[in-house]
Amino acid sequence: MIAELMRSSRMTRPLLVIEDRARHFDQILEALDDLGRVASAHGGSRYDLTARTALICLDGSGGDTAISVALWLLAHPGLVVWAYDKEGDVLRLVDEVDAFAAQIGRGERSAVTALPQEVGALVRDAVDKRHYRLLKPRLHFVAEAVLKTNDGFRDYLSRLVRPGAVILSDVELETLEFAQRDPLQGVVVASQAASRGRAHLWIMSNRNIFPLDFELDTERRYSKRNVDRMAREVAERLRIRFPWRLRARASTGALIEIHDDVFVGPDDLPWLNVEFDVVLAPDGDNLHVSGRAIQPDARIVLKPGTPTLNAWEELVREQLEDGDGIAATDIDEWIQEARGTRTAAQVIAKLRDSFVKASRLKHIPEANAGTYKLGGDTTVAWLLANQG
Amino acid sequence: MVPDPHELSQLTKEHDQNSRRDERARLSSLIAHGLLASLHVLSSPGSQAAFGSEVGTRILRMLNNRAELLSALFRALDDQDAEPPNAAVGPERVRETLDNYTALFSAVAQSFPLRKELDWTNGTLSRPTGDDVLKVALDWPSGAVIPCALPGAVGFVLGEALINAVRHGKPGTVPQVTIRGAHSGSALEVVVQNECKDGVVRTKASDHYGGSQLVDMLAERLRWRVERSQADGRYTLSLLLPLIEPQTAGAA
Repeated sequence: MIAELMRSSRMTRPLLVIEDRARHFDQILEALDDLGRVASAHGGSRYDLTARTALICLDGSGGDTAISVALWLLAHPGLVVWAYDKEGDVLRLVDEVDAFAAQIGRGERSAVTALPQEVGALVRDAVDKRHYRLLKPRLHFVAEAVLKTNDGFRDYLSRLVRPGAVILSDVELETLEFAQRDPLQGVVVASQAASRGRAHLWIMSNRNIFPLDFELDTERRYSKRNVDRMAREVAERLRIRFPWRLRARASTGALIEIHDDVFVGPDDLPWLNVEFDVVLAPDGDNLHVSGRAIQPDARIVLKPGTPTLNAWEELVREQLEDGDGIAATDIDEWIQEARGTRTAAQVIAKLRDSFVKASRLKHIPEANAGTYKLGGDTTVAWLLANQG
Repeated sequence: MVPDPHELSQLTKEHDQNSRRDERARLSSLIAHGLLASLHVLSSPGSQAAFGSEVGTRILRMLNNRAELLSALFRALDDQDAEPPNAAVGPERVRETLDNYTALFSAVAQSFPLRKELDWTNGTLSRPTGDDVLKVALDWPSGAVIPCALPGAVGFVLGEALINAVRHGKPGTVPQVTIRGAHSGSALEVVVQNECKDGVVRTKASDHYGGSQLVDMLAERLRWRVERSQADGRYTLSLLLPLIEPQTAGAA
């Protein structure tokens, strides 16, 4: 459910890069990657921009596009790619790559592969260094229909962007069918989508990268050589606008889906509160509890170190990890640590009162007052401040 | 008012000079971009290993031809009244050009980084089809040559047609070049065909440095006929070049 939601109507990455040449993506990803390394070298925390980036690859469909996509996903474990894949080359290669990685991971070091040489080498390296992340969940497809008309492409982009997101687009998207006569039509449509989605558009030409942005000074220009400056600006914007990483659990029948790489910010709370039963979000140093299962009038803001905050966090963590729940004895310990005066039963009663239906919080009687956990179908989202 | 003939002549002269300067600037920009792009690819990491010394030598020879063409074009533009060099191109030269491109395409078919660097991705070379990268049918009318006032122009135009076919052709197919006599041996027909790709996302309409523009400009200058057509999923570029007996042409 949440995966479908993310694919269809919400962009999981706040930086959307649209290009019609694979090698331009190489340059952009290198610049984004460099930024993280520079920050790290200067003692700052690594800010991985590529993990916040989704590429919309309009380089045509074919075997070479498939190799490019596989190399990008392999080199950048947080990256998401949307590709036009008419012949199925990208999907085929990505499946082969994931299968080969699984073989290597099982210790089949001598596994033979028909993968292109550069792809195979990168797979082995990623598995050896234990940073291999499956490619297929990070690959999505651009439907053919949306590339045929201005309206189709505009609607498609509008569905992908969220307020505050950044679109970085080539000024001439010549491969789009509707832009054959006028390649500028592509970026015109991107600007309409950005405007509709309250996102920011940056345009790249051969010489400049500059923002088409009503909030920024449009006179500023960036030479292509200084693409890292653009990356720094975008990073700062995203750091402010999307400070949290979403960890979520949603169920679709028997399938439990865990998402931990969706970047969100305060403006996303309204839709998250509609989609999830319980949402934990930072509120300064405090924790804000909300969601569709929580009393609509309740404003639950908890101070750090309090037993109630601990109880909420542990309940949600257990739900995410499909754990056994929190023991009443744990709550007693938190009360003691906080030198509180309330009892575990009072803390639980307060939690239960927060729900529209008190039955959301289950009691499993055992020794020492048993454990408490959220109902099995309760969907939860935890927004964690992200540094990396 | 009757214009002063002297003033009019000055104005015409100035206009001609400006036009020539514009054409020169356009040509130099297009050709220089092509040369620089090729040199960039040649100097890119891994290209030497991918090409090997034999293909590298062929590429350098092709670049040399382009530089000669550039020089001849500028001479022609600088002095419109000068006698044009009376070069002639025979079947050996054309065969050599075809061999050069076949060797280049074979090397590029083996190297994804080179296809990306050259902007030839997802073309005919992206999916191997055995050893074939180009089908050639050469049936040159015996004893005839192409008169050419711009040395290097035949090789350049043929090369651009072939590159266009491998770039835009359907993966897994092989472009075909057919060269044969036409109009009772007074002309040479060069037909380059490739199967078109499917899908709505197209290969870039304009190529990297305006190769098709250059072909059209050269053809116009040399009075060659260029036709492009697309039918039944095939793209065809046809060239019609004049042929003469070698004794009427100068040294090649």
